Amino acid sequence: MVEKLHIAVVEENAKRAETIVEGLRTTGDYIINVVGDSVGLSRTLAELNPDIVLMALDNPSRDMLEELTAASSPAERPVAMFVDKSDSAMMQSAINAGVSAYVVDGLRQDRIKPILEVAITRFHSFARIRAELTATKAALAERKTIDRAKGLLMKARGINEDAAYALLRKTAMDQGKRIAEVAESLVTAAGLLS
Amino acid sequence: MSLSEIDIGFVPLTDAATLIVAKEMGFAAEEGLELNLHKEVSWSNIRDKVSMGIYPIAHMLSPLALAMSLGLGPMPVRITVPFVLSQNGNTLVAGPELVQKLGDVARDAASLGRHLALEIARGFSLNIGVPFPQSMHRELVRYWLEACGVEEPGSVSFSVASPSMLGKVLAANEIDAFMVGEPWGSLAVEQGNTEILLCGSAIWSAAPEKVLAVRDDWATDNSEALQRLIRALYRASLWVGDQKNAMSTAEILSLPQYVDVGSEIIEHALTGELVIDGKGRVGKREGILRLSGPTVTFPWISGATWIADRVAQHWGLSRTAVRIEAESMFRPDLYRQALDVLGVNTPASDSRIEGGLVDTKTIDGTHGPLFADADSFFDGRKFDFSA
Repeated sequence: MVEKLHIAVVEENAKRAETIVEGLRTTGDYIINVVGDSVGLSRTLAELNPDIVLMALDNPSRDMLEELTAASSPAERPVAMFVDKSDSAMMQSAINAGVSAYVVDGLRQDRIKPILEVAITRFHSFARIRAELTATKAALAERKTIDRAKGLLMKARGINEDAAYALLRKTAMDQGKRIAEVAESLVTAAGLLS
Repeated sequence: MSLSEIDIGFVPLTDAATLIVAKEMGFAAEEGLELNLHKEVSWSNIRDKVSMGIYPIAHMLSPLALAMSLGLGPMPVRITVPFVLSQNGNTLVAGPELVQKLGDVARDAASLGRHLALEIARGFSLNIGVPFPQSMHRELVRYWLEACGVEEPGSVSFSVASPSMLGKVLAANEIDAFMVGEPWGSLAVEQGNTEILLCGSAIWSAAPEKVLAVRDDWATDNSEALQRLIRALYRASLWVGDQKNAMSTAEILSLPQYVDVGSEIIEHALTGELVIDGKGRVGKREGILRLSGPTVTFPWISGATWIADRVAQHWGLSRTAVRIEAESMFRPDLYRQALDVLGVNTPASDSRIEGGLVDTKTIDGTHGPLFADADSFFDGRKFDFSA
């Protein structure tokens, strides 16, 4: 029987870690550790002694792993980045997804490939979720600004809500701007004048 | 005319100033170039993205450029260095325990080194943080301690963390001190409980720190664009090196897309006045960070040789092999070729005796005598590689 692979996921963000671990669970039975503490990272990893380390490229702790990869004492296991130096397509897609993988030398490629593939997919999906979240937040913020602008117009010109909105929309169309931008300018200007 | 775009990776540090100013102050545009500067959180990312061809060019630690050329990274790629972005610029920052251990020992390289050698002989194990295994930080500390009688390995160990994280690693008591590029040393002092013991320049006053690392294949295929880039960087370096522009440079670097640290902190290294401890003691020294001057940005082959000789054994390679790679990686010929058009007076020889200029003096230039900044080691050693 082949021994279970031991994977360490270095990730501060609990949501992202969960997304990755969930994905890994679907491809096989692994021992998975999520490591969040970044200050003593190299020591933690040396203690865990995993076969594979997965880590986001936007994690500044990445350089700490260089100590491990540079380890040359015979007692320590050498670590190489990515699956196989010759598989540059895989490396390219990993970099695009924003994930780096460190693999103990000598580990068979067919055992690593599915893990990296799922990590790449999960990192991509996490990036998408985050983009969507940012978009939703921005939309909500715009909604609030438009409401405030409507309120200012209603008060200043004694018009009702619909008329205030119509005025914002007309101004936006005349100036070739988005309604949110016109609302933003109005709110800023009102803030300066008050 | 549309500008040719070049993607360049950098790590947020004061010594990326020349690249940033070349873009922001229009020096690149005047040469018909649009620089797309990409901030990276780690040197590993810089190395890997240059290897993958995502960035043909990057702001890079000089020993890392050599390591890449030697194929020590995960994906080997040959690097060309036609321009040195900075000399020096690092500070050695100690935590409270080490500061206490050092007491009132004079803060100069020889006294501090001798004291540490004594402590180490008594069983003290020193752990120093550096931003990358392949860095001048590590080589300077090793050189300094060895010259003071400390023998690595065993007694001194190194831990690696990216520049912005070293302060946290020290605060967590994982290390005794760290060597880091500005502004991260000044920021650590600002945040308290630390002291800048030494500047890297106090060990070697002309250490090639960050280089313009260009993929060799890109340099060959884009020789015209590379020449324009060298000219833009040279002119930007003069602007950055002018003391009256220090404040503006600090303001530009402090922007969120660049170093993202307060301009008043960034300014320390640019004016050469470092606040060295929580009591606000100020240390003013020449050459803490050198960003400009024809002998500063010039890729001295002898500088590359010095690095090669220091790292060869450490990296488990033969000195000859590393020297050959290092000496073909630094390209003073490309530097001269690009700047000749501007009539710049560049050094006439490709190599010099490293450590051979205790004071500033004039050397032979391509257009007459050339003012050269000091190049000396704290222990007075001279490295004559032609011998």
